[in-house]
Amino acid sequence: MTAHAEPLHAVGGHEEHHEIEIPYTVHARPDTGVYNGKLGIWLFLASEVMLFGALFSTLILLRTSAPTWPRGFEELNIPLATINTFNLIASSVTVVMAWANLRLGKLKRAKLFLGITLLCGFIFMGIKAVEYGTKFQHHHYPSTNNFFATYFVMTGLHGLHVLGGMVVFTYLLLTADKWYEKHRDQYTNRVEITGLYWHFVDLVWIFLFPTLYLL
Amino acid sequence: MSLKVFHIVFVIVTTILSLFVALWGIREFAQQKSTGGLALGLVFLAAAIALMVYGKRVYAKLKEIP
Repeated sequence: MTAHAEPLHAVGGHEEHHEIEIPYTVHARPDTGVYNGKLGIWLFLASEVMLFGALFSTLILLRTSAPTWPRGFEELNIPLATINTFNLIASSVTVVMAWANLRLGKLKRAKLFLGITLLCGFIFMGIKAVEYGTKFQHHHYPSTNNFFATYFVMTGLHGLHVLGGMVVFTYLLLTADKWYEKHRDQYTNRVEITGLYWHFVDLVWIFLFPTLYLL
Repeated sequence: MSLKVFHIVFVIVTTILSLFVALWGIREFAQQKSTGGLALGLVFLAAAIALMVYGKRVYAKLKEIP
C-alpha cells in the first residue's frame, strides 16, 4: 500500500511530498510467514476467543450453580434459530466463493458472492430482530432472570459482530471495482481476512446455538 | 492459517455440531417423546451428511485455487 505523507517541509516555496511504502501488505513477512493484515486479524481473533470464552465460562458457572435453569428448547424459538444457523453456514460458503473467484480473476462473480454474504447477514439480523421482538412482547428482558441475561448478552454481542462484518462487506462491495483494478492482490487479501473474521463469527454461533437454545 | 484451511476447519466443526444436534434430537424423542426434537434431529442429520459431502468436494476444489 502506498500512503501519501503530509509535506515534511517546504524548500524555497516548493513542498516536498514523500511517499511511504508500507511493506508486507500483500506478501508474507519472512519472520511471521504471513502478510500484515492476516497477522492482525489473527491477533484480533485471539482476543475475541478470550472475550467469548469468558462469556461461555460465565454461562457454565451460572448454570451449574443455579438450583433450576430454564431449558432453551422450551423458552426460545428453535425453528428461527435453526434457519439462522443454516443461513450463517451458507454465508461462510459464499464468502469463500467470493475469495476464490477473486483469486481466479473473476471480479463480477466475486461481487455477486460478497453480495449474497451481505444478504445472509441482513437475514440473520432480521430474524434476530423478530426473535428479540417476541421476547420483549412476552416481557422477557435481560433483567428477567440469569437465563435471559446470558441469552441477550451473548446473542446481542454476537449480533454486533455480525453487524460489524456487514459494514466491512458493504465497504468491500462499494470499493471493489476501483480497488481491485489498482491493487488486485491487496483487495483479495482484504476479502480473505474479512472472510476469516466472518468464519470466526459463524463458529461462535455454531457453539451458541446448542449451548443456549438446546441444552 | 489461510481462509482455505479455516474453511475446512469450519466445515469439520459444523459437521460435528450437526451430528451432536442430531443425536440430541433423537434422544429427546426417545426420552420425552418430543416430535419437535426428532424433527430437529433429522434436519441436522441431513445437514451433517450434506456437510460431509460438501467438505470432501470443497477440499478438492480449494486445492486447485492458487
